[in-house]
Amino acid sequence: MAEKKRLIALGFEGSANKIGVGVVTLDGSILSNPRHTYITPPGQGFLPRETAQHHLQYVLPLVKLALEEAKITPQDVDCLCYTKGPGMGAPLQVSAVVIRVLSQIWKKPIVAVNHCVAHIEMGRIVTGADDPVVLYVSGGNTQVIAYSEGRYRIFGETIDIAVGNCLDRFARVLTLSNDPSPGYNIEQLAKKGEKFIDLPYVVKGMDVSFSGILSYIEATAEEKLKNNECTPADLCYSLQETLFAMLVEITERAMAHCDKKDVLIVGGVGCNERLQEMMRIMCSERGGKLFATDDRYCIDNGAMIAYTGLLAYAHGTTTPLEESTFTQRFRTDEVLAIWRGKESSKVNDHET
Amino acid sequence: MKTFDVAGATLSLALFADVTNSKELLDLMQAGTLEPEVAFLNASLIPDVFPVLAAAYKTHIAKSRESLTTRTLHSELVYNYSGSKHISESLKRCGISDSTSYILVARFGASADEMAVIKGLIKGTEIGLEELATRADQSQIQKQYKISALELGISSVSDAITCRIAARDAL
Amino acid sequence: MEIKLDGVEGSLVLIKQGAEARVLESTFVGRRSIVKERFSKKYRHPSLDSKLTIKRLNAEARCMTKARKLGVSTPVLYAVDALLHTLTFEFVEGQAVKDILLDFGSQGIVEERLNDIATQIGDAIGKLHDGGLIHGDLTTSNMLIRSGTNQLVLIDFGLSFTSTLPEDKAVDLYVLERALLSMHSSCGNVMDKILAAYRKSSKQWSSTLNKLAQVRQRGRKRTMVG
Repeated sequence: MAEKKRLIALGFEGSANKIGVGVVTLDGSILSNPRHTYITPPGQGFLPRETAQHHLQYVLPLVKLALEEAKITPQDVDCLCYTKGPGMGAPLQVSAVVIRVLSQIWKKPIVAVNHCVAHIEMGRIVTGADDPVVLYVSGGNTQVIAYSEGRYRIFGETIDIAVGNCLDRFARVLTLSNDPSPGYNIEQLAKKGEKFIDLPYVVKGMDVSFSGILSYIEATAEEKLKNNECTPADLCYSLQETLFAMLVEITERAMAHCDKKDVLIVGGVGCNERLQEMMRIMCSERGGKLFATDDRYCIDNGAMIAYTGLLAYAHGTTTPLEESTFTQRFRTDEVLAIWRGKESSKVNDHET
Repeated sequence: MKTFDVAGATLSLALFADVTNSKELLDLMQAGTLEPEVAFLNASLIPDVFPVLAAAYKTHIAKSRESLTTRTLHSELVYNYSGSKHISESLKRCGISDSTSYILVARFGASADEMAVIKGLIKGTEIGLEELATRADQSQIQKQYKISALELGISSVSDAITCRIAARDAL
Repeated sequence: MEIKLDGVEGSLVLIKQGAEARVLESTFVGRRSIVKERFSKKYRHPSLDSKLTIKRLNAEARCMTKARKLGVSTPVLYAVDALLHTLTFEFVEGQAVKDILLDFGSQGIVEERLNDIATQIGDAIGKLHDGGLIHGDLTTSNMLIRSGTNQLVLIDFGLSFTSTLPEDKAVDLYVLERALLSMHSSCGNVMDKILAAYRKSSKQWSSTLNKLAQVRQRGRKRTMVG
């Protein structure tokens, strides 16, 4: 009998302002993972139509590049994976259309992937975190997630805007550059901050709210800067300290609630070193460990979609062509994580 | 008379009915010549000893940190028992007046001799602390501490007073 | 583990090491009591940390006594220490609702008991909300059932605040709904039973529940990309 060929997946991610194509194998080896980011001028966010045009322009060259770098041909690919959602409609559509076409030309099955679950699975395989509480923080998402009874369940989340959105919009107030990302530039500026400015701090159970903080800082920043009460760096520093303290707090609450020891941070904001540092302190106080990834994996990429799709494919799941749609709203807990099915789920019953 | 342990200190309590010389006691106290120093509490506002002990606990902690709000340790006890922030009002309501005839006397760290002196000062009948429950003036307590019928559905009067004593400075 | 708290009498036995407080058993002038000591979190900026610690200590003392004034049972508060960041209150003998529901999940539901608990929860929250009090952390871990009387006792008021806004009340309920979903989905729809009791208990139920529907929609329909 011939030796079993290793499974290979090609994955497409384009739910926000990045278009990425990745090639991975089932053991998590990344054979290639090129991507391109749509960067807008300072003070501006990205809009769906322009972002989709950007993705259309770059997606096919990225496919060629991904195959080349991985040193494979389309025949070597076992399945084509794409982000079904959540995300912005128009940019999501680009990947969905490309995958349908390639599926028919190359005669390869399709696997639809939830963007949030992909971040989690990529984080787990890259860091080796087994059963952590996951903090998923990006421009569009802020969730505290833990695996329980077949699904990734959301224990805490933002009740209004995402933390990355809050940071991005504050970067616009200060007209910081969007290159490489507004959050990165806030992080660099925050390192020079010295004075801590009191900001609202809003935790509700295991949920957080950021919109009040954003409107407060938007409303007072100009005045404070004009009166030399503080510097832009102080504001970035205070904003980070406040937002991240809230995130660490709800993560810790979820850990106590689910009786889990380790934390995995994923998503774009997860690259922030100050957030990682704060989370690491909290984990070590609880005798647990922090698992975090660097910007190669934290930031949206094709490999995470390919890997997560491949997990589902290896467990017998494919998406029929007529169901290969996209959706702006797709909750993390809608996905049945069949590949984790054999694991025992622990429900804590000691906490009082 | 009975002595209680409160956070490592002791508090001695004695209850008197039919007191006839409250004006004299009040004058001595106000002149600062009352010896030994004691707290005179309006016993009609006391449904049992527990809230007095909670107030004593609070008083003792403040004393050990040298952070009394009122002039003396024993006036602080009366002030704390009130659960209110108004000092003079508290001392008036929870302390004694010219005509008070039902009095709870309290002293921290009292010796047997000191308690004997105190008993000698008061012209009245000493009764057991268990009488507090039946003699307390429920309607006056409810008015003074603003205790609603709703609250009494889930709480005793004594617990309601204790909560107010404990939470006062967090308000 | 050696535990030292000046001024607290009797021996202290650690019951629970929580995320931001240690919970110890002790005695308070002769009564069995709980001491809850808030400690500083090293990951937080020091000034933010001390602000939050004091704010929550006071909020808890204030709100647990306010709840009682509204006819909702909470432990009797015995003492507040702003220096040591401790609260001392009544030791309530009884099981957490969380443990009761988890037992229902694994050993089968006792329908009558579940209904009684859900009714008490809805009734209590209605009373709090009509009195302008938001609990802020309604989970089944923060609810006890007193042994003997089966009376519901609410605890953990550190995130509580006063508000009459339907939004705040709705989020309060939403937090509970999510906690029930993530922890007790095997108990059936407990939230519906709670809300039925809430409608009977709160005069302002209609505006709150309308808002709750909106808050839920926000959760599901939020644009996930910013």
